[in-house]
Amino acid sequence: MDSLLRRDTWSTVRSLTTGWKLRPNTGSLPKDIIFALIIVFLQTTVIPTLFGSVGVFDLITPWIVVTAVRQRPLQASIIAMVAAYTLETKLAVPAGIYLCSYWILINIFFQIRPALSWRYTTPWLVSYALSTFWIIVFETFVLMFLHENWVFSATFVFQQIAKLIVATGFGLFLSREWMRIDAEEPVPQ
Amino acid sequence: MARSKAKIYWRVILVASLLSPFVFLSSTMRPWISSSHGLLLGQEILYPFEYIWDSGTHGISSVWRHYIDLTRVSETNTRLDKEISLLKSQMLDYEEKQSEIGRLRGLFGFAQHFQGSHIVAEIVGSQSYPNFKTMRISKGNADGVHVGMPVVTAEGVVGRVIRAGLKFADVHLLVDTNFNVDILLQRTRIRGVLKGSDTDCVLKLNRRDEVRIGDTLITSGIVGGFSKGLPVGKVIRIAYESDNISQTVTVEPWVNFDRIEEVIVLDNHDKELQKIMETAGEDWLNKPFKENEEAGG
Repeated sequence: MDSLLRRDTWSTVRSLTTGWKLRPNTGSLPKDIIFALIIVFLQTTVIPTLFGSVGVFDLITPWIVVTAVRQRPLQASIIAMVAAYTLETKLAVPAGIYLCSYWILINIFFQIRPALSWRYTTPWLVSYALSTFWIIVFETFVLMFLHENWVFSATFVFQQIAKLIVATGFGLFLSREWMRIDAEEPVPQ
Repeated sequence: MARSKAKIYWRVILVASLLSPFVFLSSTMRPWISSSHGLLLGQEILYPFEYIWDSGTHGISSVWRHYIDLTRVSETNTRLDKEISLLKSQMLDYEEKQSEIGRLRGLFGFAQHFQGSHIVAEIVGSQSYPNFKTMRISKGNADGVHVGMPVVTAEGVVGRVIRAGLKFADVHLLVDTNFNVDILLQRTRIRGVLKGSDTDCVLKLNRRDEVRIGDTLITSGIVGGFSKGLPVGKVIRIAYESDNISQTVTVEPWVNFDRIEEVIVLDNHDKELQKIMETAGEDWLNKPFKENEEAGG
């Protein structure tokens, strides 16, 4: 059987690119951790360079939502913690802000995921929107805790709305393969 | 039986996770401060890619600015020629004044602003989040950069190193809400603690303290490793609080954080004072004065 496999360069490159295609839930924990780190890198380095102060986009939250829906609890917790910790050690955020908020998020998903049918768009859409909203609320609450001035400037509100829309859109893009009526349920029912 | 056990287990986990914000909010709310490579493993892995990305984007923008977008070069050259001749005449005056200041300092026994060693570093990746402000620089533990070292430019104070990897360090910026620095008003010599606030900084002072729009703030040199006299910013707004006791002064930093390309890390790290600050809190310096006031009053 092994001798039937194509071994030309093009096939090898194609299999490598398919295997290393950036996506959540690859089935391999080390690969998932590497991909989570790449998403952190894109969020904190690439996007701010390309979009400036407008580009405060949240890619990690939808990534963690997919992970929490698709993965087993231990694996999902490890990936979420690595992503949250890497994000925290890059920024000047108070230590624990993302560890705490993502820890709550994934635990809630572990509770509710068997009760929903993930073949439809609505559960995904609501999950992404509410998760990003939760992260925004938590961040804003901590900011209000630290700030002595009023934090709700027009720029701040615009940034948060943009963040919410982009995160939801990115999440729907990530989960498009499971949003078909004939798709396999990501969580055993 | 096993199913109900699992249910209880998950409920306990959920309750524990819901309680975690209370633990978080009762903590010090400080960023991760560390120079341990183990703790910064993720950052150590990502740094080479970040460096490549930053060098690439810098290269492209540099080619664009220096070889393609040259429409204003002639105009700028003429303006700079004029400025150079003006500065040359000012330099003569400045050198005379510098020697005079040196003599006066020696006379009064004051220390020079900064005589220690310093490290010049490039900016790698600017402020990645608008609300929590840091900047990554291209020098780390291997180059002698350590946590707590002050970071400045020719314009003024930039921030302080909060994390140091092998070849990179994160600088906590002056304008971050979690950043505090002890300052003096240059004109009136009033002392206070300046706190970052989004794009500016704020300073709470007694209502009776004299302050004007345009006043310059300098570092007091008392705590935090910054040597005395480094420029911090200028007063742009004064608001009187309704309690009739205090006033809030808004300060615009001299440094434009969006335009910095290189910074200077000062090897002026006062480890003892840093330790005291971390354990006793920011208010430790005022405690003896408060006690005296209470005893007197």
